[in-house]
Amino acid sequence: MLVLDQVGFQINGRSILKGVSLELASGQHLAIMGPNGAGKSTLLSLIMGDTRVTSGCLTVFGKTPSDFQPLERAQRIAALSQSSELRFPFTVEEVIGLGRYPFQGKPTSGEKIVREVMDALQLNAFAQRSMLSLSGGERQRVHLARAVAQIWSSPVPALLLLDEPFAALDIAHQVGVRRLLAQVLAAHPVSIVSVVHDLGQATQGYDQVCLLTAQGQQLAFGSPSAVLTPVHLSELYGIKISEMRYADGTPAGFGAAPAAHIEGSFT
Amino acid sequence: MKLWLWFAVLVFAWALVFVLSLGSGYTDVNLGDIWRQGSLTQTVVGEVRLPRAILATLLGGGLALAGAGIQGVFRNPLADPALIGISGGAALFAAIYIVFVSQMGFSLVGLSGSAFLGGLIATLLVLLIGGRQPDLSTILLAGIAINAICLAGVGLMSYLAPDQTLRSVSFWALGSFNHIGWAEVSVGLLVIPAMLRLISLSLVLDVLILGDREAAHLGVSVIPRRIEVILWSALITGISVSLVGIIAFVGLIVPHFVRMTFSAKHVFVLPFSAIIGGGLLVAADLFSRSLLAPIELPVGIVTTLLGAPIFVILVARWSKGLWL
Repeated sequence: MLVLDQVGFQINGRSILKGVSLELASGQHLAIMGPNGAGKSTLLSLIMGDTRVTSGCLTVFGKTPSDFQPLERAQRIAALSQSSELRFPFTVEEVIGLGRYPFQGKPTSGEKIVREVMDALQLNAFAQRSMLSLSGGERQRVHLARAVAQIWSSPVPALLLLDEPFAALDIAHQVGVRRLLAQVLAAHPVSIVSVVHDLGQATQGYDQVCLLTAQGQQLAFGSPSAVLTPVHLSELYGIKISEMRYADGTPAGFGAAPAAHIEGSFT
Repeated sequence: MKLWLWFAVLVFAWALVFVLSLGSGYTDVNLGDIWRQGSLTQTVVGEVRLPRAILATLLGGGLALAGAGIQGVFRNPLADPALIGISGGAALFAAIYIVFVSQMGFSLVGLSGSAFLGGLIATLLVLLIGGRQPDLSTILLAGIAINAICLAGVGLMSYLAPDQTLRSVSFWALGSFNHIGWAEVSVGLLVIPAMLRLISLSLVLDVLILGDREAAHLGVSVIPRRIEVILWSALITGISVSLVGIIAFVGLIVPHFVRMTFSAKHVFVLPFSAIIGGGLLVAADLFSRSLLAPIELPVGIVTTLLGAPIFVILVARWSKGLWL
């Protein structure tokens, strides 16, 4: 459903992205990782069609993203951007309900969808709260819920783009969001592309990983076990990165501390 | 729906103020005489008070609704047609029309049209300077600057104006219902289609408040819709300024009150603002002609004296991150 072939993006003669090639099937979750300024968010806006690729070829559902009509696109691609500032006292339920805007006039039982998404993200207790009274992490969960509501129970294949969905969340809510995303992938014909930073959790729940260097070049693309190696990650971030393991030997993500302090000391 | 019950209460309150404003004033009348041919009541109410009350309803409702729309597209709850320069631009162009064009033949529609054009140009300037910044202060500062330039222009016009037009120019900066008759009401009716169109855009305004990118991702054509809302709001403001001058703060305070009291959803904010704004301006007009009767205060002074302190409180609370 998503194919990138040697995609590049330049702005004012400066290359932001170069040689990105990847393919994502329905029901899969792709993680885009890389250092700050690697062009990860730019890659998301290329997939969204907000900006056009300057070289290579990018198709979503067999079409160039900018060829979609605005409403048609909104019915198939939902996005969570990094910061969304809301200055008006909308309630949580109202904001999530706006995720159903592309389907107005269609019998899609929007209220039921909003309730299901609020259930899944444990937002029920907040339903009537004003957005202005929420903390940063709570707001982020509401906006995530809005994006999820947009593609929830989509009859046709849909795509969910998430820019740092875990950034402001505590570890319990990170787990909750992971569970929700797994639920979305299992129950609906949806694929997910996430920009993520947390190497500790990086191996969990992703089907594909794309690594971008600080220069915006694709370093590797493939399954997490093949791509996420200490060698790749150390090259990517320019510091020594080691794999951590629990005492029983199962992988526990990656860390930047000297290997001697990590290996074997994890229980 | 509980909120619509409140709406019925507000309609009733407006009707009460409306009838009260017909019945009170410098000339004592008995509203029971209203259907008696040739009675003093029929003349005073029919020729003076009724057109005033109708126009105050239309323009108060229109200004409050335009304020809500402007706040929506600027994503800024402290925006107001007067604060961001629409009213100033409209007043300047109205003054230019009075001083230079009306000597060749005055028409109320020409005056309204040039006020609309002035409001539009001022808005576009403010948008060009501060429209891309999500930050509150840029737009407000741009609006203040444009407003100051426009009001200086109005001052220049009144300096250039021959004596007999001087009063009519200076009145644009103050706002007054003093001269209102049925001709003004018929032009004022033009705000109704603009109000209805804005109400039909309620859901779009909700989505626009999430942010430009978010709205685009939800399938809204952001720039055409934003321009449309600004155009209809400028039309309402332009008509209003051309008929009664600048009436500040109605468009700011009323939608803010509705959002904090009833709902932030525009499907409620817009109609609630319209009925409250209409009632408020009828009341302000009644107040402005009763306080020092038989002297009549310009109604714009009343709304400013009422609205400015509330605005100060809002800004102070705003800086602490609170809604009133």
